Amino acid sequence: MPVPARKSRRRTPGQIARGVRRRARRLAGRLRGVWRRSLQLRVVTSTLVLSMAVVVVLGVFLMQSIYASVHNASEVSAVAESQANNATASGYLSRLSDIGDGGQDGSAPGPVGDPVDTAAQALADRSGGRYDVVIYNTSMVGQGRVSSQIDPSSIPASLRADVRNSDEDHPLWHQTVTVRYIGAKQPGPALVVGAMVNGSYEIYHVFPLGDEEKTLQAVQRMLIGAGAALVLLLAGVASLVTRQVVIPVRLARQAAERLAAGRLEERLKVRGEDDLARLATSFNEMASNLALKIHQLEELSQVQRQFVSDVSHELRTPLTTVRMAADLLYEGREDFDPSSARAAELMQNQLERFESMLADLLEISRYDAGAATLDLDPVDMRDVVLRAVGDSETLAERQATRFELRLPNEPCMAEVDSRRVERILRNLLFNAIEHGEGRDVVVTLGADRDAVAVAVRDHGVGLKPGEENLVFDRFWRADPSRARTIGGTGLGLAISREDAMLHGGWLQAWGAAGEGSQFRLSLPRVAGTPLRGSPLPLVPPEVEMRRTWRSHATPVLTPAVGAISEAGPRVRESAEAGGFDAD
Amino acid sequence: MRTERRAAVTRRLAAFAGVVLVLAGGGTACATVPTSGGPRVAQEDKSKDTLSEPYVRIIAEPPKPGAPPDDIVKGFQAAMASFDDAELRVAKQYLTPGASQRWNPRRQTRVYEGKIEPDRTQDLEHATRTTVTLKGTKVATIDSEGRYTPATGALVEPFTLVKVGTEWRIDIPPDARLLSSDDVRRAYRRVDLYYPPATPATGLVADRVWVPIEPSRGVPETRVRRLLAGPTSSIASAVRSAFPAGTDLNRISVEGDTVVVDFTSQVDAVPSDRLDALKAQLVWTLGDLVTGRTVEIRVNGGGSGVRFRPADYDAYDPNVLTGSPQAYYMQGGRLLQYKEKGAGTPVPGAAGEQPGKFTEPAVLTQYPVLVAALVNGDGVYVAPMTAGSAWQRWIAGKNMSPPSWDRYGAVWSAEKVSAHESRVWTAVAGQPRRVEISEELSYGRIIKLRVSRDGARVAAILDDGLGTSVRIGTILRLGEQVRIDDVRTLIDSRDDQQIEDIAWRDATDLLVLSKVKSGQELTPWSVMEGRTDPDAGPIKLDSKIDSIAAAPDHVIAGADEGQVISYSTDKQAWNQLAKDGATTPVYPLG
Repeated sequence: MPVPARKSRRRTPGQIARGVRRRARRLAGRLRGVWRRSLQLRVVTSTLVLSMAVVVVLGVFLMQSIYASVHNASEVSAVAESQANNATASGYLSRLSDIGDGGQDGSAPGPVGDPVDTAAQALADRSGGRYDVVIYNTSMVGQGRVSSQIDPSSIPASLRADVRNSDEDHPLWHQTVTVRYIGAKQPGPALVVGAMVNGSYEIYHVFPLGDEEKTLQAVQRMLIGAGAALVLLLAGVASLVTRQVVIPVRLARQAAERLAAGRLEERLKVRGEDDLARLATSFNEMASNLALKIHQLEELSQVQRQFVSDVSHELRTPLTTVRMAADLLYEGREDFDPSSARAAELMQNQLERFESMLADLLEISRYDAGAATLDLDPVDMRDVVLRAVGDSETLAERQATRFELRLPNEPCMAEVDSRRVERILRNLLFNAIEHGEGRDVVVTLGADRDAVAVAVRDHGVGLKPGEENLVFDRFWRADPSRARTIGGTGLGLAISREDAMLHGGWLQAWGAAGEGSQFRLSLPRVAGTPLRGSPLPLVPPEVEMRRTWRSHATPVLTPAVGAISEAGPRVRESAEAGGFDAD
Repeated sequence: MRTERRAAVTRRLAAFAGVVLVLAGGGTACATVPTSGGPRVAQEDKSKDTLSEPYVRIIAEPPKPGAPPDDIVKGFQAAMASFDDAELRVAKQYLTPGASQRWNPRRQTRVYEGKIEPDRTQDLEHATRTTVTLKGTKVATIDSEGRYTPATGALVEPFTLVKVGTEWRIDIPPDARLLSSDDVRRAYRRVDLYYPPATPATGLVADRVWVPIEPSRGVPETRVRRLLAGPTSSIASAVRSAFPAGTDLNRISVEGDTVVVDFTSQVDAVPSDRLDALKAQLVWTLGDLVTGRTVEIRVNGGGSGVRFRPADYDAYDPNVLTGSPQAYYMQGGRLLQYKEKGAGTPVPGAAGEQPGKFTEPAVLTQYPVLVAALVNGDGVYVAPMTAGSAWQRWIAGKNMSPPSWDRYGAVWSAEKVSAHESRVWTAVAGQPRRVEISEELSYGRIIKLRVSRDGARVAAILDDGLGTSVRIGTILRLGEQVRIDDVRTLIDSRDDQQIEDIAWRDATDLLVLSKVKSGQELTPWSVMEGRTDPDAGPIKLDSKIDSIAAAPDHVIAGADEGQVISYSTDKQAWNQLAKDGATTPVYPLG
């Protein structure tokens, strides 16, 4: 067992490789991120690569043409010099045959000495160290000569074969070879020009190309240096140019982000008159126009709210007078003829509705002005529900609707403003009675550790898709042709939603054509704590169960049903988002 | 409107820039070689190695398969003449295995003139043994030190070849390295080495050797390497090299105007008082290779070394006399100083003021200027060349030979004791001392004794009864003791030849005036090679000559009819310097 401890410290090669691969992948990912993010990096890299390719192509071409011209020049002069020397050597060497025929006795030494020596010395003297001479003779022994420090075996066999087989048309052969020297001198490149002289002598002129090589090396170094400098310069220029473009764009992006975050005073600095400056100007104009429009709209909505509030207040005084007069008329209706009595009754009804509408308007304008406050008390939600149901009994009886209450047995305490919650529930019940078409209305109360929820379910026509949020709009009607039967003001659900939000809770609707609808109110148990979930489902359980069963029975329908069932839990979230939107 | 106008301006500007670019491009194409601009200082090409003189080597080729005996011997000769490889491995391929073991070419080098004579009578197809004979004349031998000794006589050198397998190989090679005189001319260089004398004195002594060019080194390095190897045995005891023992040469290179001589670290051990001698040795041995340049001595290539100009070491000239030396001659019993314009003027002091008292003057030009002469027939007298001076006897003796000065201020003279015995005396500041001489010099009568201008050698005309010969000896100074060693015969005595006069032209060449049947002959001899210069023949004579005096590039002679004539080397003609009884011309020293 102690072994694994050591083993774990010393990693296996596989592990190391994996680690390296992981690190490399991470680095590559980071680089890819930088690459994708930085426009400047991309521009500089592509400039670098392209200019490098261009410089390399140009450099190779230049180098080749320079090499060709340098080499050509040295070759021409070398060949010319060799030709002149060969003529001279030929003159010296032809004397050899004369002497050889005449018999060079020991007793009569020739004053000039050995012709090969004379020829070689003459050529070497003429060279002045610029080139060296190698003389070979294949038919006579002891006639090989070489000047200075050349190693005679540097003359390649192929060149010698070509020279030996040379004819009148091509008497001169040349080759560039590496020449070795005896002693310490380093081998170097040289141009060897060979020719056959006097039928049996091969004369090779060795022209060292050290100077040419040095020149070419210097040129090459210069080209490489200049190319590198050029590429770096281009990269620098590209970097500078992109920087000039990228920095304003980056500033514009940051400004746009801040603008999007709601800081409408954000503006760009405008410098110069170029395209970027124009972009900045346009951006600033857009931002100020936007700010102006938003300001105007805010003002407009403020004026409207004020107007509504003022109108409601102003209408109240005459309405009170009208009401008092109407009350008198109503009380004395027994004395009127039936049609007048009927008119008085109608007036009384509509005045009541007008009054309640006015009250709702005032209430909603209070919300708009932010003047609504909560009066929190811990209450048992069962009592609240029961009170609301009790208030709705008369209307329910009139519509022949029965309530089905599903309340928990134990108390269900929550910190709420009971008056407002009651009003919400009343509104929901009235709504359910109005659209329930006389069928049962189910009221369910649920609770968990953090929250309580009340769901009001009717079995009326239900809601079309998309209407779940519209129902909370002011004066919204499901069917404009349908008359309001029980005299709702059209503001009830809007006020209810405002009330729920004031509590930090949710008011949500679910409906399906032919299935009826359900409204659910969810409230936190302790005021001020954020709501995370609701104890009751938004979609009624029986509908949900039926859908699941159907999806199992008829798989063909699965996608559609699945979409709906999936949409189920999401509704809450969208409503939540909607709640924040309205905030 | 404004933006439109600006765009138009921009377009026009862009077009203008384009035109400028095109024009500039075209312009540069025209002016690739700019012809404008003022004159500038020309830059010398300092990379060229102007020091090394070209030389030719022979290519040693291994024996060709199936070559006839002649070609084997020719190839062997060529391979012997190649100095590329000190071991002569290619030459040994021409020998049978046994012969290549025995053959020792390093002991001696023999120079010949001749060619091989094949034996054509033999049937080579079936023979297993044949002989190829090299016939010609002996020219010289060069020993391992590089001393050149002329040789005479016919050369018959048989090469015995045997068949090894199917190939002919030399079984009995000559017991030396055989070189034709062409080979020597090609591969050897005559080098004058210079060493400071063993006695502490400013000056150099010349030593002439023949060395093969080291093929991988070139001529200058060959010279310096030979200098470092030390003097030949003939003057080894009279000189002492300033280079510390073990010093070796790394390389010689040329950097612009400077010749850089790179030695190994041993050269650092040179004592500071010998440094000038060392530099002088180097400069004089390199000779004309460094004339007008700067020499720099470096140690193992490190940094900048000691720089100096060769002209600063002219004082070490072994010839002592330079330029146009002052000539003197006798007229009317007085010593006169030669003047280029007008008649000569008598010298101050006894030699110019008291006519008729002396003969055979010799002049020492170093301070104090002295004249030595034979006075009264009873010895060698010396008088300073100052007004009112008197003769002083330095060496006493009845039959003294004409005096001769060496550059250390000593006067030399030989005394005839009998017809078969001579003594040699030298005297410094009036103190005579007898010089130890060997049999070769003492047996016979020394007619004339001349000390070379570098003070290292004496040349003497010796009459041993059989005829006159010229002998050369090396002066050895051991403290107070003076000895003449290593006496060699330069010119043998011949019946038909009478040596009349000798004069040192420079440190290594001796002019010899001799009388032969056809008349008088004036010949320059290279003392250390023991031969006349083959390139320069005898000096042509117009009239009969009594005495000669010489200096580098100058020869003057006392001709009959009382005139002194001078020889112009350039024009190869004599012209008159003085007449009306002028005799006995003299140059200082020699």
